[in-house]
Amino acid sequence: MRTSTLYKKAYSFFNDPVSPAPLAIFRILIAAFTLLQAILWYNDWLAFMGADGWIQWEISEILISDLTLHMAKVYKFFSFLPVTQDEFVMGFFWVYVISAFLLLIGLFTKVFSFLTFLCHYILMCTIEVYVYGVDIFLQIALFYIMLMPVARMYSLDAWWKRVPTTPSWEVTLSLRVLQIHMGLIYLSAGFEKLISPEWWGGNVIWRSLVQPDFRQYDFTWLADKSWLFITLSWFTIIIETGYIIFIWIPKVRVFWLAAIIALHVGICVFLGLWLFGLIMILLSVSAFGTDAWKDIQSFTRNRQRKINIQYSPA
Amino acid sequence: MKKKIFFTLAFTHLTVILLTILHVLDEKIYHKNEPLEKALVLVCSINYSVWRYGFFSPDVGKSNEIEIKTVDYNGQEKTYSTLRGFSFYCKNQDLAKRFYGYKVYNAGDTSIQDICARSFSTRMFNLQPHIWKVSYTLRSIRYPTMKGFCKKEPVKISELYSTDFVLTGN
Repeated sequence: MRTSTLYKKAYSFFNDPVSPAPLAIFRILIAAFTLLQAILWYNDWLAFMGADGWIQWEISEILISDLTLHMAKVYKFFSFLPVTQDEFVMGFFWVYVISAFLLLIGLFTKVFSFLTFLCHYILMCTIEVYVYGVDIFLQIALFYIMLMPVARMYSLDAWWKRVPTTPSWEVTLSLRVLQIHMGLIYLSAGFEKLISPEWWGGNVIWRSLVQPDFRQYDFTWLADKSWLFITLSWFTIIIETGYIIFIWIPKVRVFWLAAIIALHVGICVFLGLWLFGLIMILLSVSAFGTDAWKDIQSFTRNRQRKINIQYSPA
Repeated sequence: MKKKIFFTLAFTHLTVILLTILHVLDEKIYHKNEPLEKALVLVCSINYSVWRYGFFSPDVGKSNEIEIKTVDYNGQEKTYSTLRGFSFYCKNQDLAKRFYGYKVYNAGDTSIQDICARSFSTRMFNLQPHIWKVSYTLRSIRYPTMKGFCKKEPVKISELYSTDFVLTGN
């Protein structure tokens, strides 16, 4: 293939207008997830975020870089308000929830996507010692939502014609960045496992299932069935490493997406990491769900056509 | 012009992610070029593009236990252990899982063990005004491999940090 042809194809891949629907679905799913996580957090909000939580502000503040934005700094900034530290932290919770809700319905999306992102950023800086995968992926998603044209469909902004609703290169570029980032995330996840000998023999999955931090069921009776854990390990490595390539191939895309969803459902059920598993599924569905749905529809249409041809009278 | 800027930013962003996950940035840039390193740390804190997503790798076999013993004014002792279901009074499982990260962070960084222990003990004193002593212990736990488990190898437990806090005065 000539270089100019390759360049044209690459340019059209990033430039040719596509439907804004996937990005709108991305916004809705991530905003709904943010709300769900906040609801689950409500009763323990002060225990994590409060000035006298398990890690007090004086301590959590010195554990992070000066450049980051801790809740204590935000409280100092708003010190003119006649509220206690705990009242301020609960007020912050409601600002976070309301901005996520307005992001969900797509009202003043640019403003509230920024506010939701900022609140989540402050939240992450405040509880850095408790941060894990779910927070990191939510932060990435909110960062993209803040910058990408996510309100062009299924939003009040679009309904009231406050934003353009037509497909454009901005939508295409944004969707491709999200899709490629997802591919790179799984490439990294697979690659890190591939260079770790502990993974090859299945012991990482075994230990995750039996250690008390993640244990949901007693799997110790499977200790002599190492083949099972080796198979699961290599299934994980292949599915994650191959994602960046096979998710683009229409014939296998649905299988690959289903396999990655199955992997995360496994993490939810067997390791109890429900929110982590859920956000990974939502990210993959946002990035490739629309394409996979089109593949399913096209497969069903072709199958229907074949049946019609087979039974059509001569 | 706007299009060119957006395309350049998008490709730079994706290139930074690719270089990070392929372990290129840490070798070539980190620990050599301080201003750039600081910039990357800042970018990482904002959008986690300078981040490796190797979840559950290389190893989640290491675990840790936090044990908190309290003594109240009647002399009654009570033990709370994360190995026996103590989840820091969290109302749901997902929040309780966050302490896994906390324990790993503590086990790996000895400089913060003492201040974190103080913070946790202060919280216990605040939650239970009837206690006067809190003993905090952090232990490392290593579970055997499948082969080791079949050979009845024991779980290896070692104490990483331990301290007592006592309320004095009236």
